[in-house]
Amino acid sequence: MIIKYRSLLLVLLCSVQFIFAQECDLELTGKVLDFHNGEPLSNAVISFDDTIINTDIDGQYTLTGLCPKIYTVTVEHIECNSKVVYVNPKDQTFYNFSLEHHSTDLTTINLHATGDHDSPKSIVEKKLSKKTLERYRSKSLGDALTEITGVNSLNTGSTVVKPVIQGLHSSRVLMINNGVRQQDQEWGVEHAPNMDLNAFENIKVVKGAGALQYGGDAIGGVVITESKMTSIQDTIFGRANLSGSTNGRGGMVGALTSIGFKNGWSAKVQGNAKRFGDVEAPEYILSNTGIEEKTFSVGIRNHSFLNGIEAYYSLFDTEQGILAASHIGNITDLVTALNSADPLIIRDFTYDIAAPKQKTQHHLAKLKAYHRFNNLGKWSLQYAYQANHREEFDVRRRRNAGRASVDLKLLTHTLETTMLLDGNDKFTKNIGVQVEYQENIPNPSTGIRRLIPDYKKTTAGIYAVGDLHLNEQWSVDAGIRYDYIKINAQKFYKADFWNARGYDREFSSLIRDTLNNQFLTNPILTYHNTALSGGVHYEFRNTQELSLSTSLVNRAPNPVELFSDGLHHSASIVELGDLGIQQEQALKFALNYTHNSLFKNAQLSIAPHYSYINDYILLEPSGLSQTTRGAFLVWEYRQTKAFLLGVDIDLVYAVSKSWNFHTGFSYIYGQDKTLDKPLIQMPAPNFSSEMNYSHNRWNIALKHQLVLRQERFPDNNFTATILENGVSVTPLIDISSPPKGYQLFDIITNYEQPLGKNTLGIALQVHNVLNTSYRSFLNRQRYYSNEVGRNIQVNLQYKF
Amino acid sequence: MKTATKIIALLFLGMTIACSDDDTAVPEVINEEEVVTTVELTITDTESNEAQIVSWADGVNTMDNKPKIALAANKSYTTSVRFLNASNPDDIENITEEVIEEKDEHLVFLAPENTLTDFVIASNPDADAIDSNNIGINVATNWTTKAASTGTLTVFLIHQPTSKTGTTRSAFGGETEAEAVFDVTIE
Repeated sequence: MIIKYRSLLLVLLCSVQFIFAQECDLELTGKVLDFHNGEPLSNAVISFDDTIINTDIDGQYTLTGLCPKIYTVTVEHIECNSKVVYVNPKDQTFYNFSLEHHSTDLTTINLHATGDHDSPKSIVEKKLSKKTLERYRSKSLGDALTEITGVNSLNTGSTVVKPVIQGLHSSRVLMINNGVRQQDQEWGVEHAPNMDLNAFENIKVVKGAGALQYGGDAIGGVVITESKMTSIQDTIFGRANLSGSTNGRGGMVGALTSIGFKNGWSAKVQGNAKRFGDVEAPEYILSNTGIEEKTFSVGIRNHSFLNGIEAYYSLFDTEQGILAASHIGNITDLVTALNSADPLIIRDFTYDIAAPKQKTQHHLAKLKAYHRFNNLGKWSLQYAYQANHREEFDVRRRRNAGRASVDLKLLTHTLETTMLLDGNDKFTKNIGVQVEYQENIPNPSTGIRRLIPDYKKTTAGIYAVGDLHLNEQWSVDAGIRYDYIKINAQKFYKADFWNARGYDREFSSLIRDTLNNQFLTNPILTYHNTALSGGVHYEFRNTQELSLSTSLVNRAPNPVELFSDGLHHSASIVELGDLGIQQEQALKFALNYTHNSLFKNAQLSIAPHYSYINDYILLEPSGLSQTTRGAFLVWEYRQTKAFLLGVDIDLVYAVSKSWNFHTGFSYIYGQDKTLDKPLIQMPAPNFSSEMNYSHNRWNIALKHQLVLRQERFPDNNFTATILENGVSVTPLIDISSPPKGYQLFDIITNYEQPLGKNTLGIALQVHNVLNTSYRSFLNRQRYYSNEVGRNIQVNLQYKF
Repeated sequence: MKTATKIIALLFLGMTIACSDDDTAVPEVINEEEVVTTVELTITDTESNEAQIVSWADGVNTMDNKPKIALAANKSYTTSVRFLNASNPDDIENITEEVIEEKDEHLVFLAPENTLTDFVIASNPDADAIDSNNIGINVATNWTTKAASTGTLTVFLIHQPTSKTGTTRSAFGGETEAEAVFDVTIE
């Protein structure tokens, strides 16, 4: 009956249209639904040309006065990925839009490739769930990212946390700060990304270099963050957070407000402040490990389907103490520290942050505009300015106390334009150009020779990425990118060092001046980077997906790899770069198999990967240097042929409506092919599991993390002659052996209380429940102290 | 759209200005201000008043080329130590003054090898800098020798020692600011 009625209606409509051809009186109705469970989405925004309407409480919409032509309609919802759909009301009067509603799946990390058109389907993007973001509000971005299987962290203590993606870090991992490539001196292993996770609604990780629109040198991967502004009109909502921790005896306070005005205007303001004193290992206080952090971001935009403009500013300001006992003078001190079970400096608890410490500030300002050309695509233009200021303070004698040892300003301008050609839904193309100018200005008043020289860097890149959906099952993608990089540096070299390195033969033409036994040189280095990527994605039996992506990319050496030439005071090592270092070339294959409905209730994903890196740049000990300050270990950058082979496995199992289980495993085998030995600093095999129980407004999770001992490491142990109890001894100094494996348990409970239209969330988190003493292989302070012990944390969140 | 065009034009202009590469400001040279490059011992025979000056210098001495101290058996000496920064040869800085100024936070530790038989080093109460806990920081010391023997003498300058009593380097904690090894021959 219904079918008959419908066809009758259709015939009627068609005939009407036939009669009034080109008359604009057509109608389109339907609903906006949640892709996962088919639930209607209220307050979704549907826009086309200059019309914007919202769906009602039942997710229903009606568009009237339409012409018989193809409309490009955008559908958005605050908690969903937006979607562009082409409809012709001449052909259909009823259309249901389905959006991927990522907040419904709160229990686990989203294992799907997300529906955003940012990356081709063959490239797997892993996204942090909203729940993870809520759990980590008082922690760092680097900590939160370790929730993703295959992402580890490289730490300096507990506060400086750098993401490691499938074994690679620093300049090999791009950080995208709300659409802008972050430039915050990411090259140093003791430099954590200057970004606050509280500023973002979306945080995703792309493993590997395939996402060429972000950069052509992401050998490790890309971390993409997004600060989203609302599309809903006449609305105001947000959250306020308060968190307190027993370990570190501190907490966090933060708030976010999102406002939707009329006529497409919306704004967002967010601020956070964090303060912790010394954290504690199970046995002792980790002296001077406090942190003080203030962050702020504000954005405003006008957004319609055809045009949009956006302005955004964010500030990240932090001061972090570095474990007092890790500040050592030379190898004699290192031996003393290694022989002592406890850190050599344990003081009473304090909130004060003394030297050694780091102070960093990162400002980001961006302006973005876009325009949509009907049936062609979306053109956007973005300018961003970043100012990064980093100061590092060492323990110095009184005359210089309070004076930074490292004081660097890094200023970056980026202008980019992209054209997304999505007029053909089956074959989208994205082309773009990026120009970047960067200046590094070290402050000469430190009284310590510059770690990074004055330099100006110009980068120009162009790329094209295409994504072709052949049919329901198959899609293929390809990308190409070229970058030109020019570094114009002015650097002082000590004359004896310059000659000892043999630079007098190779680079004598670079010398401009000689001052007090130092040569002023002007190295101008240029690099041409090309990058290629390609992938295939296959969906079969409705539930399974298989994808293969390959990439061949180059990475130009960073300033540390090129220019380091002396004593790194904070680490008490001599670090030597090399002017002759060339680009790295990486070839990567990543396979991903996902079964979305294994045994009906489980989801399994297996992702093996292989990278072959030619001229891989690594830092390794090469010998001893004897100075009047004593002996130092010399770490030198060298290049080698390397390969990394690994796998990331995730399994999610919905045991019942209330019980949910997730486990992840990652393993990496890294090998230096030239020297035929294991690569340094590879993450140990690790398992991470979580059992989740939800009942009404309650949620309780038990987390278990098992990290095995890294059995594959290069032997960089060395001997040095030192005086011990009046006897000259030459002990073997073990800096290579990884610490034992360990396992940790966390319990996290959460309760949500609705208060009228608002909700109050209360969370109790106990980390390291058993107060386990352990040391982590990827923590640079593992020589000096244990990791942080038990922490009980209470979080309050008020959503309005 | 007109405003958008203007904004874009301004942006490009800004970029061009920012990118202009013609300022060739030369960075200022930095001379290391607080490193110790030289450890100098002035050893005076208390009878003859004859002094020998022996120093360890960066770039000159190595563990295979240690500076040599020659002493006579059964004698006493007064010794003073100086720590110098010769990073800028035109402006040699005497760091000892700063060490004495901050005597509470510093200690000089002179550690003879055990093979130097009955070789005794003690703070020289007449000339040493005495900290607020009445401990001499050993910038001036008295040496006494007995039997003929050979061995090394290591001079440590320790910043912020956790303790000022002990007989071995690790007992003092703190950070080593200088560590120089001398070959001693007692004849």
